[in-house]
Amino acid sequence: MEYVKTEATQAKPSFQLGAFLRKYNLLLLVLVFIVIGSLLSPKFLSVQNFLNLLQQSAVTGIVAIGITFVIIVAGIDLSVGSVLAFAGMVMALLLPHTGPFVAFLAAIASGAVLGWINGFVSTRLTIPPFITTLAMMVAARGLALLLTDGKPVFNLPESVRFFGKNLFGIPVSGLIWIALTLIAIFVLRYTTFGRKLYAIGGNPQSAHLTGIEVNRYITFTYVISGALSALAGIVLASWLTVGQPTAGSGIELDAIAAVVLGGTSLMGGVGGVGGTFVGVLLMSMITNIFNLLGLSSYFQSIFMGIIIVLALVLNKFVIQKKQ
Amino acid sequence: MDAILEMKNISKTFPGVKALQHVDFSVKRGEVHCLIGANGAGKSTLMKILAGVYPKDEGEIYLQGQKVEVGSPADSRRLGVMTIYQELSLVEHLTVAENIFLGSYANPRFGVVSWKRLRMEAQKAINRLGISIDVEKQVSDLSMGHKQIVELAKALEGNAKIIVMDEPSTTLSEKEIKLLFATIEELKRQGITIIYISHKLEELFSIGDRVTVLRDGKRIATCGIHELDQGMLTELITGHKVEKKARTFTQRQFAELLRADSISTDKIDNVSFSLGKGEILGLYGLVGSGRTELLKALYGVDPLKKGTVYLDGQAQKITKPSQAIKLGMGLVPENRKTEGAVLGLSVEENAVLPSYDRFARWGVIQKRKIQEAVSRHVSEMRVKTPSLATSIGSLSGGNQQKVIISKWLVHQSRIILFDEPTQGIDIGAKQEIYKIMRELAEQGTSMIVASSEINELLEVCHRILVMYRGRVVGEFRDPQQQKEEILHYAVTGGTALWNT
Repeated sequence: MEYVKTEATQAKPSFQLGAFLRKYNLLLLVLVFIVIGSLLSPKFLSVQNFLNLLQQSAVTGIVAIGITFVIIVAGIDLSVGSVLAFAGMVMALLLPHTGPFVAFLAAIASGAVLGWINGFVSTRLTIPPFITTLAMMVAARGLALLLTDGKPVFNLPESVRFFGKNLFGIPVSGLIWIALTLIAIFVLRYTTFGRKLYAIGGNPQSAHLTGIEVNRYITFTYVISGALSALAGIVLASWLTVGQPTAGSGIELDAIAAVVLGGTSLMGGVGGVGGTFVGVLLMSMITNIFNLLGLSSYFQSIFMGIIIVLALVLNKFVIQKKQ
Repeated sequence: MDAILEMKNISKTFPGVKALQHVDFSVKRGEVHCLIGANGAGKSTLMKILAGVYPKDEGEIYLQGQKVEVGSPADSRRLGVMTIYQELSLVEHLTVAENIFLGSYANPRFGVVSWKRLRMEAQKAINRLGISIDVEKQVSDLSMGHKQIVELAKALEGNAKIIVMDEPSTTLSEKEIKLLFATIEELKRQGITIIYISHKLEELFSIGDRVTVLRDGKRIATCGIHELDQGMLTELITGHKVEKKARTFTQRQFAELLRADSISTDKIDNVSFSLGKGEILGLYGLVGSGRTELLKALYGVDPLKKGTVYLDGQAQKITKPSQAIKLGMGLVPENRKTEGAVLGLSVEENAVLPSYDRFARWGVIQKRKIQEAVSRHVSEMRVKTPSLATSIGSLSGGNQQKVIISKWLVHQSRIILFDEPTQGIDIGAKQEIYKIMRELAEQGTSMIVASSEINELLEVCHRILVMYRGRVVGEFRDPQQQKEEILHYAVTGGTALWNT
């Protein structure tokens, strides 16, 4: 390349502890917890425990992928839990009449439509996404409860229990989560769609003047988030073999926490799904360790809060050190 | 007059850069002292050391003969040095009065704010500047000029003896600049010392008493402003003579590419003009005359209420930027940081942003092709960057602007719209950008350049349109010879508009 290089290029890229820590601090944290976990309980490092972990994380993990897209464009989606429940109910109610294929599609489509409404209202009617999706969170929950007057749908047929089963000894839900993560990483890194999302999140005004259809793209991230929430709802319902209108309440906070833990900035324009994956895993692992220790979930909550703040403080500290 | 401030032998090194080398800087009590230099000359660094933002590596600071240590911005303020940065420090949603007394709230009794006293004190502070501003207004409702003045009032309330102003005029209209200068004169009368940083040479001559020139971290000269003329000053700043070639375009004819036929928006009124292939058309006018708004109308940002834009003789309906871009237009907006660049992204990603779809198959980007194209254009533009992966935010303003221009080269745009193409860019980089614009025109790219600096337009444009209150009031085909007329039209709107 022949552009005028400034002197900084001549400095050899050397191993820098700060940069390394900044890039991989989350993985280091995971490592720390693996060590702690295995010291505390011999069961922790077993394959079975890891597979359990994968299964437990999958639902939150799938939801968190969608939220990562939304947060990259500087949005937020609080409605994921309610959308998840609504889609799960749609599937459970349709199953006896239509068979699994149509029921799945209908459920995912319903999630996508709710997501589209989120996107439309927040971009075209310029209501802040926090408010829009808060309203959707309340409304979609009501919708889910209304479908069966609040009653769960039990005993889903055999045809949908696939998601709760194992394939080659690995939980199907975990496989779906991993596959979706890989696809999302690819989309964000190597497609024009993904790269434009970063531009929009970094500076929507500039992106607009550069000819990017900002509103359309932002809306689409909400559609993704809605559809993935719906998919998570299907996975959850078929795993538990029951359609619960109250499913997934509070999942938005876990998922957002995992996204932030994974290094995606709530200001938009920075981050990715790889970090989110590790973030979700880390949070499940902490829960797992507490369970193995037999400590109450109250402790878990306190500790989780501390870890989230600590991880971000650490991140900030390492970045500042670098500068 | 004795020296109120003396900075002696100041040095400062950043990793890889000697920002300041043994700089002496002395300011007399009650003068307006201009500090000037190209970008990277060290004037911001020097002022940030004075403001306590950066620690100095070496040297001493004396205030009124006393040696002082400035360890933090709070120290500096306590010593009576107030700095007003370009991005003002006012809280937009609070009133003028609250902003002036932010922090102290005019000494409330038992923590209870007395709004009446706050208002009165604030009014006094504003009156002291010889200006009338309603102190109960929200700051967000004020013009930029008035905001500056509120900043000054706030600084005075903080008991400022020296006020440092960092490029205060960049965002002001000519009328507001006059107001600001009047206020500065008033402050001078009251014995306040002003250090005034600016790029605009003509301003220094109208407001400054003395000037200090920095170049490459060294002090080049300090002298009375009237011992210099613009040419000498430019030479001191750049270190070499800026050659002014007398270019006379011999009234070239250009094949018509774009034509606007009586277009109107909310901000512009019945504008018609045409643009030739390879032509550089200038738009001159005072702030608020509709220069920027005309660009926005062409670019599909502001909707057209009336009129038609023709490209290659075909009527086009452009309602959003993406359509304008598809038709071969590109905008280099006025505000680099908020509209032009995506600061968090790399040089490469910024340069390829409008063209991603061309470098993708099935939506998957082709990294190699992008790198080829971007590195070719970025090198043509002589962008100084460590690598293409460097974040654009870490480049200097001039280089950022070059990257923004190169994104339209990568996109192979036929018409590039420039809004204040060299705002906040140092003189050397300005000349480079003018050169690039001329080269692009030679290659057949058409350009429309809106600017508030007449000399900039005279430098590059084949033809200049003057705008006044949303309308085109004059067309000048030999601009180099018509400068006085152009200025006259911009100020008065031409002939028949005296009574408006």
